[in-house]
Amino acid sequence: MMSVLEKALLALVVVFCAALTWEAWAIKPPAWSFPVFTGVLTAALAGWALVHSRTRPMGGPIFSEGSAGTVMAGMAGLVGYVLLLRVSYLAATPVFLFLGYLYLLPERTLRSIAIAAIIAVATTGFTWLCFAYWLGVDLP
Amino acid sequence: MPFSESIAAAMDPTILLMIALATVFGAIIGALPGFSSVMAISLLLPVVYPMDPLMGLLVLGSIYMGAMYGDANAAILLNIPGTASSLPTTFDGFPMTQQGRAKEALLAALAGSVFGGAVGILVLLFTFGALAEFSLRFGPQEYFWLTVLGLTTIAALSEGNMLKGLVGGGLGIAISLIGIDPYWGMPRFTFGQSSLISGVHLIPALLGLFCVAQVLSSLASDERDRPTPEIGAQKDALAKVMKAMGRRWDVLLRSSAIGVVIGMLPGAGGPIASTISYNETRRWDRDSASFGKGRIEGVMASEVANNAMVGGSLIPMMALGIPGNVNAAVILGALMSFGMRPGMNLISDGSGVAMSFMIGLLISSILLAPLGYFLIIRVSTLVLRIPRTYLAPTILVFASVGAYSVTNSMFGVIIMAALGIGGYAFRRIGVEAAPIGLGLILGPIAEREFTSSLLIAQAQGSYLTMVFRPISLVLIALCVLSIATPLFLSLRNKRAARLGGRLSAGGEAGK
Repeated sequence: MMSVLEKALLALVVVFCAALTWEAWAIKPPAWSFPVFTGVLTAALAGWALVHSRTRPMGGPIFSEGSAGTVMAGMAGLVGYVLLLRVSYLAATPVFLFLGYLYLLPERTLRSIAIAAIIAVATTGFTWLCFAYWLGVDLP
Repeated sequence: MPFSESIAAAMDPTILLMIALATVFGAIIGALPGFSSVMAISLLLPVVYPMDPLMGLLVLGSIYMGAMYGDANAAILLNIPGTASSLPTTFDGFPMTQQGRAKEALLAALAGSVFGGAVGILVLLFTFGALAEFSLRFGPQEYFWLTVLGLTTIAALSEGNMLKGLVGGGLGIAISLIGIDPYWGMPRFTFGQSSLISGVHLIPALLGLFCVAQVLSSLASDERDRPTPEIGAQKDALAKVMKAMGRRWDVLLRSSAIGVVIGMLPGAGGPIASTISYNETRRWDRDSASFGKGRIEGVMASEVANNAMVGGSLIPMMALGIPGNVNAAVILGALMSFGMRPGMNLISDGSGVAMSFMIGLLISSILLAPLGYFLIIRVSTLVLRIPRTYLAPTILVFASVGAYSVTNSMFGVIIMAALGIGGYAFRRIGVEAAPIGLGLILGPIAEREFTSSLLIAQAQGSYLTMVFRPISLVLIALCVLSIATPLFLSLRNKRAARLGGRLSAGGEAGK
């Protein structure tokens, strides 16, 4: 439920800002003042929003019908790509792109799958050209 | 640097080529429904990072200019505004397409964007120096209150939820504090993680907030029914547009003025400028009832204001360091990444980058005319046929590699992914990415000025000096006003709704 997500995230902001304020007390003046000011104010605002959200009835679903799987797959795919990217850019990127295209394809025919594979390889090559070749980035 | 040298620097063939490419890129990304101008700018941040400051800033500025125009294409052809700014363009643009006048509407949007863009940049050129000179009267106290004003106004205008906007702004500032303490040079808020000592790098953070979160949002939207765009033939379209421009110069001038003024106000961006401009044009028209049924003036009013806002939003950003909107904020982030400081420094540093940047933007706004006529309109129509299938994963890869390239480590990619997923989750609960991003950009400035004003106050023996200075008092009053106005309006609406409910209940009981 949306309301649960709202409460959880606002509570997270309160905890993060409380931890920030706690650590900021240990900093010598005058450098402690701004972090304390920010931490206290943001925690108070998030706390207020949290209290405000408690008075509301439980909201509607977090995702609209049918989109939950796609968004979750997008998030999982991104995390997986970040993990794979450590190993090799040239191995991780075409795999991520091909699987991503495949997942989002409305109709999977032999032709559309072949096109997806070609675009995945071409995009990998283009980004490699842009970053590794032209900008001189040392990709993993 | 003399003015002639600034012009020569902006007219360098390589720079002109980059301006043209960036304008086209911005227009294409802007044309894609759901993909905003700020995403286009953020996506290219890692690419401009290694560039020379003038070229880098001009690429970002030209993307901004192009994207503000590009969003009109989807609005006119598909009745889907590329961004909220082009919503009023749909009111008359799409009816024109339905009447077989798509080409006329697209050219009216292009002509309006070129006119508005050029006027906005000319105002920037003529006012920047004076405003920057005025900023010399500002001390750390005034700069601190100015950053607070930037944050409060943008948070206050956050999609109708001020409290959550303020939470987002505070969270952004809190994240920006992670890393080395600028005063003592000691690590802070790293929670035992050595990788956090260098802080949260701005560019991966912005890529996460504005690209990854946006892509995840686009995955959540159902766009299977997007129609195929068609322009159709209309031979006299250009002549009609030129005639309309000559006849309705009042619309062009009024909309430009609205765009520039609204653009200058922190937080009040393109959607407000184009909506006010459209409404004013309709209000002043003799045949206001025909608006919404395919009036060319409606398209022009919206697009002129939309692009005039570009120059307007850069005025406070360049002169005072306070961005007029999120696009200007990201360009401010790039400016700071290049080691430059806004305000009088941009004039007095002798590099001439500021003047060349403004001249380059003027060139970008003028180049939009031939680029749009011969290239962008056609390319946008093709781009609008690209299914989401290929866009979302490609943008994620580009953003990830970009985040890696600026930090040269996987940590940048992790930051991008974390802020992207987190930013999407916060967006779901009504905390938009804009205030978080602004907090991240303005946080270090606010901290520096706050600490400096505190030290001055201690030296003067009174903390009241942080507040009781003429310009500071004006800025504090504006901060209070920016928070109080939406609160007052919300209370008034609630009271009106309650009164309306009581009246209708009374009426039903009477029956």
